[in-house]
Amino acid sequence: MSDSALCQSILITDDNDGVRDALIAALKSNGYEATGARNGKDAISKLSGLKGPTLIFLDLMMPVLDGWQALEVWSRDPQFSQNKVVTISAVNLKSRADAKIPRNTVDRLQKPLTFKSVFQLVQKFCGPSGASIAGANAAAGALHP
Amino acid sequence: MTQNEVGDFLRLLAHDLQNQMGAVDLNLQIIPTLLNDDDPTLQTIHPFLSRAALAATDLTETLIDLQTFAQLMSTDGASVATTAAPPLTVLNLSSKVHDCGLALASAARNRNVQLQVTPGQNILALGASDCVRRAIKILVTEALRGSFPDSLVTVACLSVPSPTIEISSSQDGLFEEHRVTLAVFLAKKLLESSLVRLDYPSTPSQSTLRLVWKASQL
Repeated sequence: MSDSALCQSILITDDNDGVRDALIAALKSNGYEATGARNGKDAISKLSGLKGPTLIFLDLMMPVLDGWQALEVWSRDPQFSQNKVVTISAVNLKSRADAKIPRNTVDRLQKPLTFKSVFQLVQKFCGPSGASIAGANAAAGALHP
Repeated sequence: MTQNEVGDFLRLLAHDLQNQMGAVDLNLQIIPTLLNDDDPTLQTIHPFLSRAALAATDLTETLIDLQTFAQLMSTDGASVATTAAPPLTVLNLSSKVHDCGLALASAARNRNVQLQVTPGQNILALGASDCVRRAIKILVTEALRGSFPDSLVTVACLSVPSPTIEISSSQDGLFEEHRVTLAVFLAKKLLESSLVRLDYPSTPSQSTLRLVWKASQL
């Protein structure tokens, strides 16, 4: 699979139920195939069942298995390179010196997340969906320019 | 409770509240995207959603300030002002002011407040880099939050008579020596190790706070 292939599914990995569920619902209402995972272990388990390649939004600080640990596991899987990863971290979070960041980490977002920033990345890596893209962009931009 | 325990509690509290606030804010952002642009309901509810989003942003910023305070009560039990003080280095205050302006440009636009930044040229002073950066950001954010729409907030870096960062708002009553807000309290703690004095040269029409370094530190 080439690096430029559009992602066919989205995996939102965040231990914050409210954030995760809101993003999944919003992306689904815009015609995207979106699934959630509550931690790194859950994400690793779910990824194999998703239509690839997958755009993975990955919170770095999570219980059970954090984002860095999940990236470590994924970096040993040659099949993983077809997916795209966007890491999510808090403002004051320093990068781990020993962290292995895969080459397919395409962007980094800082908390608090804005729907606009997530949606722009989804459109970039998954392409426009069949739903009202212009409306989503205009409304999201007007509220948080 | 020991100071460590208080610090840990505040940090965890701030983290949890931030997460919850993040979820509220995100849902507020998503709501208008579910309506068509020409839907009259969208026009009606948009101002309410904007205000709710702004309140969510304010609360998130307060929680970040709370986390900052909790970090100051560091895990080794010492505060920034004692033996665990961060190292002092030569800082380019002009760069710090410039970067702060960039970081807060969209926050100013969201509030319809004009942010004017005059960083000067390579004005240097001795200080704890991260603490100074955070203090400037906290105080400029405070000025933006406290200013009415269409106000002007200016941030300037001056070299005479000594390295100084001046934060002003055309909104009066913002910075007053006898009224210590959470932001000013935090900024003072952060700036302790950098030996910065806070001055309040406000006038009836303008509220000003100056962070003043000693002359000839370098």
